[in-house]
Amino acid sequence: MRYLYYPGCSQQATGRTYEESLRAVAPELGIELSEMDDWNCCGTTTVMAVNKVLALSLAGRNLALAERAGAKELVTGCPSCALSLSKAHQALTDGSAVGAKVKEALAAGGFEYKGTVKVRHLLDVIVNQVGLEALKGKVRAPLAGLKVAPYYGCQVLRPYPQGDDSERPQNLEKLIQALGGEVADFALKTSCCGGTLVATRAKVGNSMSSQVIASIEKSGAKAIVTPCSLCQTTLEAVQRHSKKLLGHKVRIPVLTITQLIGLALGQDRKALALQRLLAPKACVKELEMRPGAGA
Amino acid sequence: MENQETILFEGELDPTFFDEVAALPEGAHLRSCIQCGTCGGTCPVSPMLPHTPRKLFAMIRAGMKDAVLSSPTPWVCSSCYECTVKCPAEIKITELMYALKRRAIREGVRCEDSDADRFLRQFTRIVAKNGRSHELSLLMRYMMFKHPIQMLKQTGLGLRMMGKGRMPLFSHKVRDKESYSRMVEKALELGAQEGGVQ
Repeated sequence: MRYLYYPGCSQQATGRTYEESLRAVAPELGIELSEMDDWNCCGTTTVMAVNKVLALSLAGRNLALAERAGAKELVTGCPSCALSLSKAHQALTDGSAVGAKVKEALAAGGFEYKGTVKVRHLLDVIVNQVGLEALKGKVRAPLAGLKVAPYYGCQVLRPYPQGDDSERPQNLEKLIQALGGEVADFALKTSCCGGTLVATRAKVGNSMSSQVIASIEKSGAKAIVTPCSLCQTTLEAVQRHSKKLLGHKVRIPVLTITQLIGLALGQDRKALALQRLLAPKACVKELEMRPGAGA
Repeated sequence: MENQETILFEGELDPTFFDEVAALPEGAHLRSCIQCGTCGGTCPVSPMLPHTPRKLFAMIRAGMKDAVLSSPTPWVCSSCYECTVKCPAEIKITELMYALKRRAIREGVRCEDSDADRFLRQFTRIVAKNGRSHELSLLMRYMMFKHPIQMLKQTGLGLRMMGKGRMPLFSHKVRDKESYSRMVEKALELGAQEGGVQ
């Protein structure tokens, strides 16, 4: 399966663990990714709050580049990028007034988007395209006995569910089970982690992310898995202040979907960028040395 | 946070504000709001703020333009879309929050209780210039002068992220800068008509 790949900015910075582990596991899953040439920021939730036409044009330029490259599908690991790109696709194909302005802005840069590209999130591709049976066949170091918390966050499900049910999502649960792990049940799996509020409204942001951590901790999970690089960073960072926020220390490693898959495929820490996690070495080591890992 | 009730006189209200907001693409279905409160019930941030989306919509309907545009609620909205997918009237609440933010920026109305607008505008400036976002310069620009204490508190995390190679010092830029800038310039111009500024 060949896909055009849109990394998005955070995937190559704070979310580097995600992209590095993706590059490690993709070939094993039969996914061939070619990175889009000269992509730009999708605009995410921030530019939308400042200038709507600019936000949609930023995402629209990427769609135009994907179309120009002949891609039918554009894959990204970032839920926020997937949402921004989907919104631009909609604005550019629904005949709306704002869509006309976005087309005009794109044309000023020499771009045109006819509307032929389908945007997909990586989790959807892995679960629904690669398929769980194929995935099971690749598992060499099953996550037996490892209780993993499936944390979706927001934008992979809302407002456009990416190949899942937005009310009762199951893709992460299916993924954990296919890899031989045990699913931890907790209430806040689709609640918001607070995202950038950690910078702009620390009290609210910390309250949101620490509640998610508390809910996960109660489930007895030994690891958290998420399809979002911002959630990954936020949930890792808030645990540094867990003593102050929750009254006791919590140290649960937060993995991206590709890191979890890589562990079950028996890949090593370097390939999966486990050394880039903020969790203490001992916690990460525990994941690697778990019984059944064969390491 | 203390919730204060203020008496407003009719003369202080803006009689056209509701119609203006309802006429926006984001304001579709706003007239169908029955004040059921599902939005506030699902919102993870507004319990910590003076106005839930429901309350904000009642204020829009009443014409309380100044209070709406200076409310912290849109600025603290985390774009989680819980309210949007659950609203029985199908109001695109998250998109409406974006529209209110753009309107507040355009009219120069500041929220006393949040300077998230500075964060959003800095981000936009960086992306408009380089084509890619850059977390380090964004956080530095946002925090250095206005939130020095918070910045110091976050230094440990920042350094740890740098040590892990997750906070690059330099930003990537788009290669085809010329055509990118032409597009951005045009978008900014057209967006300003829509109620966007930079």
